[in-house]
Amino acid sequence: MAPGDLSFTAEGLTVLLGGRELVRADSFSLAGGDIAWISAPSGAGKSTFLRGLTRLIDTTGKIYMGDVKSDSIPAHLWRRKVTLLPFPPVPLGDTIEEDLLAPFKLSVRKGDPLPTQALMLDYIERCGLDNYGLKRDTDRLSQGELARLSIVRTLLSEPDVLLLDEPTANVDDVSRELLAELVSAFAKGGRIVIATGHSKPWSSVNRYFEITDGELRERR
Amino acid sequence: MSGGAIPISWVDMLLASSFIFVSAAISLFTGLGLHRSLLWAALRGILQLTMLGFALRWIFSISSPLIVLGFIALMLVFANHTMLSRVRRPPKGLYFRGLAALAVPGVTVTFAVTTMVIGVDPATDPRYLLPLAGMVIGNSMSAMSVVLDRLYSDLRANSGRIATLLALGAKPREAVWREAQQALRAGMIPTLNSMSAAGLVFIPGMMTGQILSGTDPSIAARYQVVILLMISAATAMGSVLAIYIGYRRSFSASDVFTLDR
Repeated sequence: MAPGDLSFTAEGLTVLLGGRELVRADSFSLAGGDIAWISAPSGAGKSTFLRGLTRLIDTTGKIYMGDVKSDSIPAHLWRRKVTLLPFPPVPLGDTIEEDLLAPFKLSVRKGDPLPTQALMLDYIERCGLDNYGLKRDTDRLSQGELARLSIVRTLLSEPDVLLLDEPTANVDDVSRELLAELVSAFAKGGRIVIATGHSKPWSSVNRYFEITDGELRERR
Repeated sequence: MSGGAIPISWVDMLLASSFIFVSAAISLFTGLGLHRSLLWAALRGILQLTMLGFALRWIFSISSPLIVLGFIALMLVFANHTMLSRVRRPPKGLYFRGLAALAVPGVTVTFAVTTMVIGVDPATDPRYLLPLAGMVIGNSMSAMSVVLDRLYSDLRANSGRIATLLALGAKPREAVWREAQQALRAGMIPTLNSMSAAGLVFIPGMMTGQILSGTDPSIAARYQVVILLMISAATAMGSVLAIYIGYRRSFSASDVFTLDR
């Protein structure tokens, strides 16, 4: 997919939590290659907004990926394309390898080629976990290491739109840069990344948003 | 079953209850706080079983199919109520589904055994039907309440993992399957234990009763085998149904997981 081919758009979107309106986004539009960063104080609804985009919670309004409207396909098919990594990260397998392969055990990826050992090793090297190999137990990883592993897992699952909630929380400065490079490489392939966070955004971010008074606005 | 057991007088009953008072006294003096619920449960047990004795005597004497079936319906309603009251923070919409999940295996298995295995005639003979239905429904109820309680507490505890799986494109069933398996296992453990330890560790209640009232132990053993198998079958089916109705109620119609807040 060439950069720019993909588009991800929300129109008149309202994300509801417990029937209450929490975040509004009147028009929100990203194109392939974009890396968006949403910053807002705690409790302003960053996570809720991402959950709304991936249909983990109910929304009103319209979300499109290309010309596919979110509610025109079953929720699990939408989430396969618009995938969220929730915060805090949790392991999905007992070892690093099992964790990375967990998305491919789901019926939605039935028949998809599994990532090769070489590819998995390459990714864990690029996020700085290479000294562990693939057989390391995931319950021996620190919070920061688990955060990096779960980002690699989500990247390998090959979504079109990648939503990352607080990807740099508990991550040191060196690892932050490694993740930034991984994510930019992913976006350069024509995909879209939307991340949230309190801290300084990655240098590769090209679109900035804020949530103030329950409304998402682009900061130019 | 003639001859029967040695009758128990009211004085004997009082003697039997004295042990409960001893336990309650111990609880009271040691400050363990069990005496209230112990005495209350004992009182309920005494009253309910005494009333049941009179009710069954009346039902046996008139032997009306309608009343027998009505009694089973009442059992199901009480069982459903008890089952759901054991579930902490249940989602909405479990009442009728719970009733159906109890009734379908319970009634099917009970009638299959009375009519086809034991060959009771008429099929609604309360002497056979009511005790058997009670055992089947009661055991299913216990297992299903454990299944549902465990299911919802595990789903809540693991909501982060479930959300992560869902967000990767898991179908609701796939996202909660591990928790469902654990809950099913937890609910079935007592049934599995009672099957594998029967005769070695304990002489089951019904067999005890039949032996006490003079039935030949080998006939009593055959009855107990039939009962054990039907109880286990109904419990297993009920528990699987409980898993299906249970996990589906933790998702909205739009596949939104509703237990993570």
